[in-house]
Amino acid sequence: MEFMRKNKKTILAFILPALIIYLLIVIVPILNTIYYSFFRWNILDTTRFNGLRNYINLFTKDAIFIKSMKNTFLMMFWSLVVQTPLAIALAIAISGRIKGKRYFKTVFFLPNILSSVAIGLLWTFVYNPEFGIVNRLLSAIGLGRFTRLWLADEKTVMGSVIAAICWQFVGYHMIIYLAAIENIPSDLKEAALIDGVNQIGMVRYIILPLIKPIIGIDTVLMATGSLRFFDLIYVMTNGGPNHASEVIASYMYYKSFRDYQYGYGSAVSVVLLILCLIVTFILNRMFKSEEIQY
Amino acid sequence: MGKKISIGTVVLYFILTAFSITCLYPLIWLIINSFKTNSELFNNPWGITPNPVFSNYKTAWTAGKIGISFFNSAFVALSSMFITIIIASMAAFAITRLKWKLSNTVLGLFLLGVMIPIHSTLIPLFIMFNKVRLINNHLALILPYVAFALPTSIFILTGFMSTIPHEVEEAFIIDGGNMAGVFWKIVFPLSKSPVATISIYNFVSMWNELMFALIFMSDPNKMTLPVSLTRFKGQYSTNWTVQLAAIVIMIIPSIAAYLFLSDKIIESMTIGAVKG
Repeated sequence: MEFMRKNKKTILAFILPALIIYLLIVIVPILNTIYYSFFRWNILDTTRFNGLRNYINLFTKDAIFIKSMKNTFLMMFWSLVVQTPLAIALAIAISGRIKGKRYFKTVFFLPNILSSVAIGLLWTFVYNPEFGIVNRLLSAIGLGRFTRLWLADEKTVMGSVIAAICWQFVGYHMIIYLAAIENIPSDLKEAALIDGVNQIGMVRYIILPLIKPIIGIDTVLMATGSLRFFDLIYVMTNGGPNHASEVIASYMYYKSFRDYQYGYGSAVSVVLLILCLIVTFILNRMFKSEEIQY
Repeated sequence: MGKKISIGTVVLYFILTAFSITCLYPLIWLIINSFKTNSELFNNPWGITPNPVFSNYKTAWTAGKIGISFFNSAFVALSSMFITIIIASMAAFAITRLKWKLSNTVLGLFLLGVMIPIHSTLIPLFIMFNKVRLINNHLALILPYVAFALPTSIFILTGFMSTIPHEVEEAFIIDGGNMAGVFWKIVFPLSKSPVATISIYNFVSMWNELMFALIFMSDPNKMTLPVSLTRFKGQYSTNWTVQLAAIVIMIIPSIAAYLFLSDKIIESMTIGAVKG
């Protein structure tokens, strides 16, 4: 029995298929990207070692990259500020024995199963200047002067995209909080009720403190999700107008596969990778708290 | 005595209903308008049309190549999903049920993948696939889809497999079975529930994936649905209602599956976060 578990051939036969694919497609390319990022490498040009030049240019000379960093963090900030409270509020609202819970849960989560491309296209229709829902609705209620070219205006484009992002993902985060709230033992809630705690007190003293670790996990998810964000931007604005909605991922795509600057594009994606690691690390530290004892 | 309905409850339901309309309305608008002509959409984007046209769907499906892309997507997503199920289960089996020194290191290496953005692998993969002539070959999507599905899948599977008691497989081996038999006849069949979870989770993300597909498939006959749809926007830029029909074709299978399996789908798609 024991010797069968330790048989080298058996172990290799089981682990190697996954390990080889993983190393070849994930780990080796990551190392390659880091290596490429030190080169000046255009498709028409000769490849030349460049040291840290790409990184220095990114942060000192490339206004569009700085813009895309700003936009990415803007998107992250508003996603967190809008979605976290809304998701928690919705989760609290439908937790417990409320009628129609299944309906609300199913409907709120629905946008998450749909392709981001479909959602992006759908929202370009929502924002369509001529027949889109937003402008037609504004005109219908007498606010016609607020109608505009939502996605073609540098001032409104980021806000419009962020609204679509929140629409797509808030239900996902709600489900995470709902699971956390329903994991709180019911005798804890009953004890609080007996002690005369009202609804607001229940949220303030029982629910929020007990779901704090989940808020941490969810914040990490939202933050790294925002850093990687690509699909909706690509479909709705392609980074435009005039790079006004460029984010790190769309800029990386643009530099690598439109300008064919593989070295420079690699540097952008290394920055993205490092940001993902840093954000995960910082947020984990921030929300680190002792294991909850019920 | 009638049940008292408090103002709080009324407000609560009002807000929840308003929010659920916000979620559903754009989709209803989409479906209603996909049966209109362009001029009808322009003049009346709100109501249901008295004479629905189906030609939008026909144009999208054949001339717009949405039909071909539909089958490409199904092929790529299903094969990636099946390969992931098999090799992730085998790896999880090796990590949890077999004894070797590096098992925890290898598990850690796989779990590291959760933090890696796919963007950081695009350029080297593009160069590599170009060299081995895999561009415009569905393998160029299947391989990355499987590779990036492995971390979460192995995480969920190892969590489950480590809880299976050893007695069952010991009895099997005493009766003359080997480790391959233990995996195929005992552990894998027992893992139905986590396998269902990772199947759903992976299929949804593979069916919807854009970035790899955008870069590795340039032949319209090989494209998957998300890429076809983005091309569509340029191709039929003024033919709005054909675009709407194409979007509907893309989302209908997801919605249909969701209607039947919503609980399992919701659970599968959030389990990584909840358990993490």
